[in-house]
Amino acid sequence: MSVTVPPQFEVLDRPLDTQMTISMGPQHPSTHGVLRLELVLDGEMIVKCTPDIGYLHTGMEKLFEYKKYQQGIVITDRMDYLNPLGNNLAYVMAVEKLLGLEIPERAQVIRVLMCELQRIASHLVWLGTHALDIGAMTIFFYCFREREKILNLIEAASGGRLTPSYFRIGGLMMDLPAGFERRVQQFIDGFPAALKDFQNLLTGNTIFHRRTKGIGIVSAEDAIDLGLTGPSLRGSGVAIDVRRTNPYTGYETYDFEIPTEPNGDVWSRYMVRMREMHESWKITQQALDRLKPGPVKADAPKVVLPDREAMKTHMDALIHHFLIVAEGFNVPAGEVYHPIEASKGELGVYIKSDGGPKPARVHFRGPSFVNLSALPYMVNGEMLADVVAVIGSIDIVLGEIDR
Amino acid sequence: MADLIKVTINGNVYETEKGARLIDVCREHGHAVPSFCYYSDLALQASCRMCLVRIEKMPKLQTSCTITCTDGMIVTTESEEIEKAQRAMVEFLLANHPLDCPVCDRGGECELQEMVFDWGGLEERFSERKNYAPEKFLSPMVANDPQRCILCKRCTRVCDEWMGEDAIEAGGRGAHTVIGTYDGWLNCSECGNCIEVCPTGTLLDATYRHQARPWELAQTITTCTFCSDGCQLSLGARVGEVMRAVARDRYVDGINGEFLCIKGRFAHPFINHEERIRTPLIRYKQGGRLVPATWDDAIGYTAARMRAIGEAHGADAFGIIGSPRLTNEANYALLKFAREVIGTENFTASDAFSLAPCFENLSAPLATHRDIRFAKTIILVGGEPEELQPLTGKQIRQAVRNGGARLVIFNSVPIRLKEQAAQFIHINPGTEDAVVLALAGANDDELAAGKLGVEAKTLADVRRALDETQGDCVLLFGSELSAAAMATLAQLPQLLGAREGRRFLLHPLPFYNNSVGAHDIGLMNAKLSVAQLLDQAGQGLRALYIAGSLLPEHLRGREETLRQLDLIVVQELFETETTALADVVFPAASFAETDGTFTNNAGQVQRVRQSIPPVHQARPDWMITAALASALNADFGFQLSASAVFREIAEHIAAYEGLRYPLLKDESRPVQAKHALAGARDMTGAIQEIRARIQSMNVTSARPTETPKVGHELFKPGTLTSKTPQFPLLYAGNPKPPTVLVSPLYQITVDANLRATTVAAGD
Amino acid sequence: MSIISDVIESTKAIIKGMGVTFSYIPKEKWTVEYPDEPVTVQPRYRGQHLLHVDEHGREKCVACFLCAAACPSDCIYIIAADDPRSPEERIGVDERYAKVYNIDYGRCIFCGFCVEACPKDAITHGYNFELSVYNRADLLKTKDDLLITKQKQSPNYRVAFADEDVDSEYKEV
Repeated sequence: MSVTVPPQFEVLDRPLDTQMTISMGPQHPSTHGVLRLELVLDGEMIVKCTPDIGYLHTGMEKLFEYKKYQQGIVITDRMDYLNPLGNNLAYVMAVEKLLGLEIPERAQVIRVLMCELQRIASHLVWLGTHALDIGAMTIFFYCFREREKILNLIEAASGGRLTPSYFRIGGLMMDLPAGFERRVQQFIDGFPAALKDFQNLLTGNTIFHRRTKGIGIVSAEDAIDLGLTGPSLRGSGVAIDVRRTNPYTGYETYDFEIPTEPNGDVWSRYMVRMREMHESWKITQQALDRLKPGPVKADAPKVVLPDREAMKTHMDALIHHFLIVAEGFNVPAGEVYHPIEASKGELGVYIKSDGGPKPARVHFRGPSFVNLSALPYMVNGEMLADVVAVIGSIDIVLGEIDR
Repeated sequence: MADLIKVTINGNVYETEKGARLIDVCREHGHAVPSFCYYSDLALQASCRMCLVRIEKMPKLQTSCTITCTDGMIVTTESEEIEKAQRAMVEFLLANHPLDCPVCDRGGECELQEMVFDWGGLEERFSERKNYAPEKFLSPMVANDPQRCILCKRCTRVCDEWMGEDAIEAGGRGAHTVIGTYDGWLNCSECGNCIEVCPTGTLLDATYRHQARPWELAQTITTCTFCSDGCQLSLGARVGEVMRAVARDRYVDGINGEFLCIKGRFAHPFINHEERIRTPLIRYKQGGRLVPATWDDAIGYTAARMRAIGEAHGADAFGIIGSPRLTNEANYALLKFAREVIGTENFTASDAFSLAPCFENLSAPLATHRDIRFAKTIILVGGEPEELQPLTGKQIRQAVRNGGARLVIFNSVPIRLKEQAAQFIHINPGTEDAVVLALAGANDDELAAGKLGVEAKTLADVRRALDETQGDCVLLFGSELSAAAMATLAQLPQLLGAREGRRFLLHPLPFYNNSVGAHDIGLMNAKLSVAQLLDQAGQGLRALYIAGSLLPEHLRGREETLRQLDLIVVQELFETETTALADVVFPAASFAETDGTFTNNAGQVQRVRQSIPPVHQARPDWMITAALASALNADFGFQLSASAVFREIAEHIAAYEGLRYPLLKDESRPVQAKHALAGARDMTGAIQEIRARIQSMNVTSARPTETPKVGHELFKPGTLTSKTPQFPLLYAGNPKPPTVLVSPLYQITVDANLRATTVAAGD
Repeated sequence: MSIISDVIESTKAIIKGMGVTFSYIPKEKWTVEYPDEPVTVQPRYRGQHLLHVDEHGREKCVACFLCAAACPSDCIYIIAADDPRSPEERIGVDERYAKVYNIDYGRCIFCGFCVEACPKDAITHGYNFELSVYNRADLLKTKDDLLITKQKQSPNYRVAFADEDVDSEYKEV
């Protein structure tokens, strides 16, 4: 009796040998979503790794073409769902660039504040799950506890925890609630202690060292060639950060460092993110100190919804409200690319407008997608068990990869 | 070609025709100039002050809608000064406007909203209390909120210039000016054109009141199904329900502009009416009940019965009757069914007015509605276009009022259009043929004048007017003419001879949306007329296949003989007197549910497009015919595609040669069918026949002296129009209800005899 | 690295790590025993919608369709209608009212755009978040489910005060 072997499971080079192809995922706890890796193994060593994506494809970029500009914001929430405010920011800033809008100071500062809080939250999820993948379970709970505090803050400001849609084209959904600053201050005050706990739990741990040091190495040149951005790039010693190179929302005026590590391994990327949380914490404090009363919406009556009170008492405001909601606003024809430093790297938004109320084309340069393409290089020659460590270290979110 | 002059607008030099209006020139070249009151082809108003421009050497800002371009004019349309003036105007317009966009039906397609958004600021300095007036009804069709009015007076101008009715006017002075009616109740033809042209929510469609938003409606451009003018309209549908019909130029730009009549605009509720036939129905037993059946059963049953009758009595036992209300595709399928499946020439269409003599002798092109608008002389013999072909009526009125045309009317009834006529010739009833005789030559003036009851000199005057015409001369005729007279009239351009600078155009006035199409397909010049065909019932004829229903005049008195037929198959929307006789009834799709073409009275072939999927189990008529054919083992090859049917029409019908759906796509450039023009023919026979007919005519000189009431034809509750609840109200005399604040529908019930009874409000 | 130093290093790391763990034993617990205890939600939280009524109990909604136009997921379905009765007898505050007002929670993404769009303050987000059902059709909520006078509020949430410090709400062990 002969057995037919499906081609992907066929023994490749040497007969009676150990090289075999296995599927990791799409239902696998360590692939952070529905990612499938096609791994060719020689014993326990990776010979070839091919990421297979598309299991979470939602047609997001096409969807934008059927939504008015302001409706597109909610779609961005669902892209990198660990960093929704960053996605919101990239999108609204790209549209604002097309419209040529001036955003008031207070809105800018709040955007920075919220985005840095979100960055910390995103890194906390990364830290918890990354450590969990490698085997350290305790830290997961502490990370999620801290993240819970940030999500409560985001919920207090926007009403949504995972899908805040807090930023609007031309400003914010609404101003911060009363007492928000005090609560942020409380979080800021408590966070260094939590960060210290995380360091205590992991940074000195030899098991963690062994699982991460010298694993998944990518050199600085390769990292640039592969298009890596964000902490994954800085882990290879390249100090590139969009907040520095192409500052937006006033990042040039904030005092923060760009942490880098020279080795390009999993450990370096871990260290970069740990230090980045500290830098974000610093920016949060500065932003909080800068909060001055003022408007949070741009003075652009044809784009921004009018004040609710005015809308109920003034005819012209009501008409503007009605038409902006019902028909949207026209955005001048043109193309724009706007990059921001999201928690995972450079998130770029490309928008092409044909002058109407709906975009002609929207495209995202998602950091997760580009960073994932470096995975095969990183895991080549590593052990099978290290794959989960490397996946964790590039911090991908499948919602952004599959769009 | 008119002289060209140079105008400088915003630094760009443009060449334009002398006498062009400045606002048109600006807009044509992409310089946006806002306006409310300016409406092309209406008298100028210059009341909204939005179209202000700066013209060099003129002291103040000028309204560009009233300025005629002159050579060397230097115009600025955009500057701070102009913007300030415009913003101030918008602010004034909003000073008294209630804050009710959320309630107003115009929201989303309101020109005031758009103007404020595009040209207004966000500054409102008026803090005084606004005037208040409740929303009210002006008629069952028109709702009115006086406070939303910006006094552009488009409605009053349209009512006057298009409809000649002057039913709506501005009353009061200054800040208290309101648009209103005499006596507070609108007794007019209820065309609703004031609603259409209103830029705000002042005048609203009461039948669509508070129902949906424009952005929720899927707009489908299609052709009206009510008269032979073939107006282009846009059906707004939402989840399978047609909510309204409009001709607003943002949705559709057809031969009619924004014009529609009461039927086109308001008589659409029949489409989703609950009385529509839902399933095929079969009467298994003579005298039994119509029982719902499946499509397969009904088609199979019909095919089996047809086969049996065919075997027993031969092909000529069948009669097939199309309808001038169906699409060309449906009529063609019937014709093909008769010829190829049954093999009989017993086919016809249920139209009482056959245009066959006209088209056989046609010696001048058909006049489009645009031709009528710019004609120089218009001769109208019989007919009453205002009630039966409202667009033609409006075009005639505008030709006279705005174009200075000379209108001559021959009619036995003093129709309303006579107000516009240069010459209204009141003739004796039934003597329309004599008019043709008189127009054809002077030989019979004595005879004609005698019978017509007019002086011979009058007829000579008309002939002289025809003779002197420079430009287009349009001959319109109604259904009163005999076949010989129609043939002679069609030959009149040849009889009078060609002359430089004069062009004759013909324009028949048939009753139905596709009368011309039914003729073109070949149903109307068949062997037998409807009456002749029906008279054979019980003799040679054993089975009838009727699409649509028979006209009352054909049906009355024949019920008993028809009941004796072996099989009557009917395709209908509703249960009618004809389906009462039927053995099998197929639910047909209405014009809103099918694709196809209609040919209007100007010979223009226009698309009918599917707006909603067929309701219940209805199917398009041509599909039913094709299904029946395939049950009788004949494949029509239509493959469920209306365009395939039309392609076949284009291959078989000479006038439609080369036409395809893509060529008919643009409703703003309708395509005229190429009806063959006959050369000069010897008409002595026909003239002799008319003469003999007139001589033997026993003429009464009792002419109606009273002008018929507005809407005496339009409001008649037909099978389709009576499904709009407001129509019976109008037909009952449009009584003013006790309170105008609530729709009269809730206050007045109309009993079976269509007499209005007033009940207490809120009852 | 020798085995001895390896063991020493590892032991040190473990002690350090366990130190963190043990230090939490006397501290307050941060978890919420939902559903035995109510979850605290923020005042701006976006839960199941509420349709509001005015002081006479008439629906505030005038069926202007702006919420449906603003909705990015097309989950709101309205049929507007005329109510010719006197203002006292009417269902809504205006003659125009929503005969049907459905929200399909299979589509709704709780973005709050409808609330922002409503010119009459007729729709807001409530706090009900327990929307799971056994049947997909039940996700379609009608006016009977949404009206503030009719919607059943879950006992499993508590709305925080406007400036309440939710995070400090540690529970005693």
